Amino acid sequence: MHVSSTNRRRGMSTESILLLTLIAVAVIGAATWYANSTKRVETEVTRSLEHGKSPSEADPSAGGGGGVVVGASRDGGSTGSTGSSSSTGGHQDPADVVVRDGDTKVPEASTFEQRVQRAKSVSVPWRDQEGPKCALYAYGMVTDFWKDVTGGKAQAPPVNGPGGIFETAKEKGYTKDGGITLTNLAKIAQGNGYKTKYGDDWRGAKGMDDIKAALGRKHPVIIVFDVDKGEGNPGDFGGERAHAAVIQGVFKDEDGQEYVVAKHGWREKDYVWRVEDFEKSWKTFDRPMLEVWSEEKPAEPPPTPAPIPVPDGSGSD
Amino acid sequence: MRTSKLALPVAPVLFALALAAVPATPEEGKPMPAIEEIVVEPEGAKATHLSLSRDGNLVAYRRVGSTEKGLWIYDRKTGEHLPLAEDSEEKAHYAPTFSPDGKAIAFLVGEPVVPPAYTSVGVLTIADRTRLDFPGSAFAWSPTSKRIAIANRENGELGVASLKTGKVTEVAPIAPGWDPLEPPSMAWSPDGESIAYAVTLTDQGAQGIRCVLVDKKDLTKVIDYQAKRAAIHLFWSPEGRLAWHVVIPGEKPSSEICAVDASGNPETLYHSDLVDSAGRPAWSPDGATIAFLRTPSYHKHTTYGPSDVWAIDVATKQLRPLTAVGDATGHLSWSADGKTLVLSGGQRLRCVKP
Repeated sequence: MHVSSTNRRRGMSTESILLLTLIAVAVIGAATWYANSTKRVETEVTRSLEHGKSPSEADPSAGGGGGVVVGASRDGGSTGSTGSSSSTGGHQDPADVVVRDGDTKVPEASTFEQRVQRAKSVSVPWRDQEGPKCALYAYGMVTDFWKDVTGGKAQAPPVNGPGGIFETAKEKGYTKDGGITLTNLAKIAQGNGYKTKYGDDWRGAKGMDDIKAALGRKHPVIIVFDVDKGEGNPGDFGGERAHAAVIQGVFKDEDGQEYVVAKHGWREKDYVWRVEDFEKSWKTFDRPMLEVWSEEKPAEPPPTPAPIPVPDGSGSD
Repeated sequence: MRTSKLALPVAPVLFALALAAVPATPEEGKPMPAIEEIVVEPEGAKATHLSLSRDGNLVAYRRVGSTEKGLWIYDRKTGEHLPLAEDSEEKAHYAPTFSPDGKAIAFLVGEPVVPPAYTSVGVLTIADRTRLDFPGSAFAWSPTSKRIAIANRENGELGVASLKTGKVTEVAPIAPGWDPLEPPSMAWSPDGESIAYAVTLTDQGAQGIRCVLVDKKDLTKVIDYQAKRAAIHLFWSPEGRLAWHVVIPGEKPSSEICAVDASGNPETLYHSDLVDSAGRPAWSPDGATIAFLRTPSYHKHTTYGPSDVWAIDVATKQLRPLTAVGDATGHLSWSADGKTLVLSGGQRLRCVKP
């Protein structure tokens, strides 16, 4: 392989220049296509996240399995909550398909969002937060949960308006414009007929085991963490951004990564946080926690009337 | 054939040239700079919200996890810890921030409730421990350290306090009653003549950016964002060009860095379809780069991800990572010589040497 001395002296011929130009155009085109296709993949991953799916779910070749649930789910999941939006689409993992009734295949959790719903020990209805009253709204969501569970026997006061949680807290001198300590929030809960545990302001639980134990009792847990700006996820701001949320469940994914499922007043959709991220943010405040529960029993369902005997026509006239 | 023989050796060169023409991925930048971490560990307690003095000798911090809660100062030369302001049941002290000259510390004072209720801004002179308190719940130091901008949540006014006279002059309206977790970002221009600030526009949390000439009280609208809970952090170039990092959460999130161009219009320098970790960026003293907190991907199954310090070349808009720690949080500031970038605000200080 060599380049002729003529070419070296006189420069390249017209056909050579044309050919090289074609090669250059083709190569630049291929490189640009490659760059754009990379961007497309990134965009697809982003979109899949927007719809509540994971990158692995966006990629049908990625594996996945059933989540390991800490604490059994109440009635297999949601309890009449208005709070959870469901995901659409997503590939169905073979590990999530079980066989029931002989050969009928029933998908148990075909998307990560469904796994999240299944993992929730409790499911609290959402309240849209107005003003700096995150702890009052978190408590309001917990009372809604207990009102559902007890068939309306437990109190679920509104946050705002006459007789609301905010008004009560103000009357008792617990708050000025919505901010409150967990100790005083526990007192309000007790005034509403609830039982409470922890709630000792900035010193609450010893660790995640306390949260898991409460969830095992099917009790929602109010916690305080350092919230990020924007989305409402855990951050680390030196305790400057104390925010209240309700923990509804803890579970592991197929990789053994542990998550908490939370809800707070910023958005209706459940938050899913890696446990280590949540714990770091929670520990900034020495793990504040408030377990709230009602001992009201659901109303007994009305007795089923005895079946009316149907004449079988065998009687004699 | 002559031409094909010619094409063979030239093709790899052209291929390399073509690849060079495609914007490089951020990871292909320069090697990662060295990081010096400063961790303050008081005995029997925990230090949070660390702030470093300009000369690097003192660290102001909030002490928690013990009975001696409050603001403390740590002398890195002597290893001594000294109390600055003690918490009580009704009042706690947050967010200590050194003045640009390093002689005073400003901080927030408020009730330790959830969410925190900040009621005043304190300013403490380090040498003689003299203290001034102003009603307000957010602040920003002037470049000369002689004045401080204070946003008052009660009366909805942006004021400027003189540390010489202790007098506050109201300079612009700022919507009252904001969520304490959404304090208005404020930033003084390098010449000290203007303050840019974010203002809440509606009950739904839409925000706008305004700029006021402090002494003339002339107000300019810069931009409005009709998005709920947009997180804005304002900063200036050394030459006085206003810029901001905005994070818009929601179903279609985005993060951007914009700067006002010569004609007064916002120019987008950076855009991402993910939610970045929100913290104050910093424009380098030579004007060439902006350091900011970026989240280039999310953790699996979450809507947040590892956060690191990144730099954007203002001229080319090329990005490159400056750290690979994954949990960068807080606010950024450059040393005067531009050789060190300090990330402060969390439970450790990170000094990056870009």
